Amino acid sequence: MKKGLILMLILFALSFVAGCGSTNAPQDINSPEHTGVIKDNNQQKDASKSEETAAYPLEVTDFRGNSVKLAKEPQRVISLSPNITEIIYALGKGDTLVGRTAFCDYPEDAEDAIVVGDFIEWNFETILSLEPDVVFASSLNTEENENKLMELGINTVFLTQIESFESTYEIIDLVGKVLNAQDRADEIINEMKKTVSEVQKAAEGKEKPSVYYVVGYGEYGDYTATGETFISSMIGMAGGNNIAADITGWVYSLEKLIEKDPDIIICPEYAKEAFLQTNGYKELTAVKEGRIYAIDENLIVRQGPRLAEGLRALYEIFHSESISD
Amino acid sequence: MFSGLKGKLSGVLIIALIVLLIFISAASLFLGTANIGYVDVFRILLHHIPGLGDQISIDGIPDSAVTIIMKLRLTRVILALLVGAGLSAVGSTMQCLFRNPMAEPGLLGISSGAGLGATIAIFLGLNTTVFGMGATAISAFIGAIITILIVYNISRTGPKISPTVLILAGTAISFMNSAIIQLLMIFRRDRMDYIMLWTMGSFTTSGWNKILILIPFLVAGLSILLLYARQLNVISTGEETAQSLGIEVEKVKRILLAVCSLITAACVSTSGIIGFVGLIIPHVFRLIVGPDQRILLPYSIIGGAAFLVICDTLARVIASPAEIPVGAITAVFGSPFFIALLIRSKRSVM
Repeated sequence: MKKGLILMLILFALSFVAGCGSTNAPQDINSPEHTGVIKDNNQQKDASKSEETAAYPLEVTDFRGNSVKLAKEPQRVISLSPNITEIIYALGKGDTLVGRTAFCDYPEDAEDAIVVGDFIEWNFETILSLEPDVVFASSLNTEENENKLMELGINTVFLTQIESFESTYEIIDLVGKVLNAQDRADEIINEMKKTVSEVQKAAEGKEKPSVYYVVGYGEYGDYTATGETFISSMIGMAGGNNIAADITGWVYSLEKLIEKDPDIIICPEYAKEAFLQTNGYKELTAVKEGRIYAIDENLIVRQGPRLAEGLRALYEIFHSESISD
Repeated sequence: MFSGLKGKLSGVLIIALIVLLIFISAASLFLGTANIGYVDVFRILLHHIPGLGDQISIDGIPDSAVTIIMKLRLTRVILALLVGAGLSAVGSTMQCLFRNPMAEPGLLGISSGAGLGATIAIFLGLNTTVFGMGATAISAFIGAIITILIVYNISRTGPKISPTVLILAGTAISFMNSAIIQLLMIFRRDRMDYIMLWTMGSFTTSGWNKILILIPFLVAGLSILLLYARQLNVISTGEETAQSLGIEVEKVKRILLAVCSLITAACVSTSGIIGFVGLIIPHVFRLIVGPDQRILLPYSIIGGAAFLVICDTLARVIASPAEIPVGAITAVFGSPFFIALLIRSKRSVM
């Protein structure tokens, strides 16, 4: 009887394993093309402007200081961060994107690419089976996962998130270089710089409202973008005073928020209604006087081509006027 | 003295279990997100067997398939196997040593210590590698060892250890470690998810380096546990009896505790906190083969290995391409099995 029981357990377990295996969508594995990562340093900034046919093999240095070698123009690209996905599309290279994260939701076309993970977990098997020519990764993952990518011999370009607005230009520049879209990258960067200077010019001399940017609130704890974040510098560039600019980290407190009583509160779209209803927060002057504004946070938190748009949106909230193009 | 299956039958059963383990491990290699044909998997595996490799060609198989099999699936299966065997053996030994059915590898605070170590590394954003091990794993190992040393010294009076104080001190330190982990998470909200996921356990970042580090711990550790199985049997019937039979009870306890701690620390620091295996698998086999450590321990080792390989395979394929933390799978799928077993054994007693 006991033997029968063991057998039952085993059969049950096996049928489970087998049943799960067969439900997987097959992914074809075609010809491989793995180029190793070779150490060498020679990153020239904006080497020559004229080429839209860059010289491959190409060697670039990524944000980690690794030299990445590309035998040919990448045809199969995986992006492991939403901002990089946006950049790839803005560069007109969306057709090369074969893999993305679950959070890569812009532009809509990007959702056709296969999901290979989220910020925290990557499915290495899916990544490998997509046979990418190059993988773009941000620093928003664990050291172990990042090392694993290198260990598997995947051609990875790390675009570490640096807490400055300007580093966005560097990210776009490098992605442009790798994907043979240097000219388009320059266009995007110039366009963004133009918007930035317009916003800064418009904000000059205007009164600076004090601003609080909601990342988290209520029972989940008060979190905001403090002085060390690029979001805080964006608030400054758009002519606002971030009330949390004097501290570091992400943690804030309701008491401090009430004490500083900001003129304007910015929060993500989904959180606005609930924020207004929550005890404590509804006592804030900005809430009482209706100066709480929802913003598409993806314009603010993703270091991509839409960041300048986010900056403009902030300006328009702070100074209740729009900047015409 | 002991109920359960007699030698001959249990011998047949353990061979069956080993065959099953091999079968499960092989099956796990064929399953995954990427669609690689059975024949190709065989060819890749055979090609990598030393001496045989030249006869089996892997021409025509894409490099990525070879990498998936050799560097992802195979390393995961082996790591799951080792960790399952280790945790289950530790659980079995500790349940017997403490004469406590709730004893498991995390009982003395080792897992929480590893968790705290890992959390500190993640919190500080450490990014160094020593002997192919990441800072998180090293920090976890150090945390585990420090914790067990503290617990051990609290419960020690001279050379004698009090099991009750040991368990209580372990539980208290566990709570403290968990609380510190939560505190650190609050202050690094941006890294909260990684800490959470680490504490749930995963074999995602398995690799040959981890396996090579784990193997010496397990081979030496499990051998010692098996060696002491007979003495442990006697100790579990009463320490005075054991003493009068000439067993150095305190010394054996110390050795077993040290070995259990090292195995657990090694397992947890390479794979995160994987609960359930060490608690339930020994009970499952105790219900089947009886409480004799000499028989139960080998069963726990093989059974734990097989169970964790099955769970990790489920973790990989069930929500593919997303992955489920293996620690969640072990409990969700393991508990119903165990409860069914409990009900059955209750009936057969009545």
